[in-house]
Amino acid sequence: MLKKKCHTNNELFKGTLQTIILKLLSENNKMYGYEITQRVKSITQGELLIKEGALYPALHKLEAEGLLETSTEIVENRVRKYYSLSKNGEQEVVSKLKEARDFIAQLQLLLSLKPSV
Amino acid sequence: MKLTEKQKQEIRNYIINVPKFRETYNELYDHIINSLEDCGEVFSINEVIVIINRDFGGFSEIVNQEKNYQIELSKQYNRAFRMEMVNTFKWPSIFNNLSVLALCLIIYFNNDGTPFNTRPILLASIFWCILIALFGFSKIFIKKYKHTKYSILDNYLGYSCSFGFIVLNAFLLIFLGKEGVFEVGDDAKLIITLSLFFFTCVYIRAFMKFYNQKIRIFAH
Repeated sequence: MLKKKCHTNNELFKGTLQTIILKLLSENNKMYGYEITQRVKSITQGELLIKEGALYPALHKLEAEGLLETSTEIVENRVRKYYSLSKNGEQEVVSKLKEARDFIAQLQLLLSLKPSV
Repeated sequence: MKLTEKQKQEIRNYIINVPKFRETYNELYDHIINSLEDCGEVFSINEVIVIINRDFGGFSEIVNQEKNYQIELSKQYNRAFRMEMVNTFKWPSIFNNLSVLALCLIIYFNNDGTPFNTRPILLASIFWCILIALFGFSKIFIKKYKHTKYSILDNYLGYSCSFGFIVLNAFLLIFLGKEGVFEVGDDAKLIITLSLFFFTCVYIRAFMKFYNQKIRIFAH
């Protein structure tokens, strides 16, 4: 799903892709697929790379669930599809983030890790 | 690296036959161009092949994903269309339904025993269903002419605009036709015809609302 340069087990990232997409879209008005991959790459300084084969199905699923809205624009004579959060998506991002934070907290407890500041 | 129009055409030719629908094709093409323009290497079609295989998992994976996308989107459109049907039974649209229902009941209960001529009502239902189908398919073909590829939305529009016509024809073949599968009495024929007329009215109003409000939104 997400590929990491140092070949960390990809199973670790399973289920987080939707949360990452929703979070990025909550911080940006609208984004297109390639832009999302590049944003993740720049935030993680190239450590985590979203695979397009996983990104687009996730985007399409969120769109079909009504969490994302799409719009198109003509950019340099080609059609670019932008994704943005729908009203339902705005609500979902809050619960998804809470879910992810709770999970990380539990994981830290289980693995006796100190939370990073 | 900025791609030339000739190079872009080469990419288009390479991927044009892979995705079935416009949505997938546009997204794939835009992604490949962005990726190539960012990578800074000298253009070669092998780079496109690498992007498709490495990032998307190959053409077969793109086709599989497209199928799933079509299923997911069609479910969404189906839900929206069904909701429009249900909404005709809610305030204030229910008044239209009640008017049509009252008309059907007046026709049914004013029957003086002689066989009622159901043909005009049936023809009216068929006429409107054909009109809706023609409207939908004309929109699809105009879009196809402009874009060369169908969209998933066009696919659903084709299904929804022909739905009424198909259902009506099925009833004609099974119950109402001269050589129908089941032989039904005049009274039952009248009930079926009036029911079809009522549901045709519901379907047409739901379709027009779905087209005007939802399809235009989905199309963006």
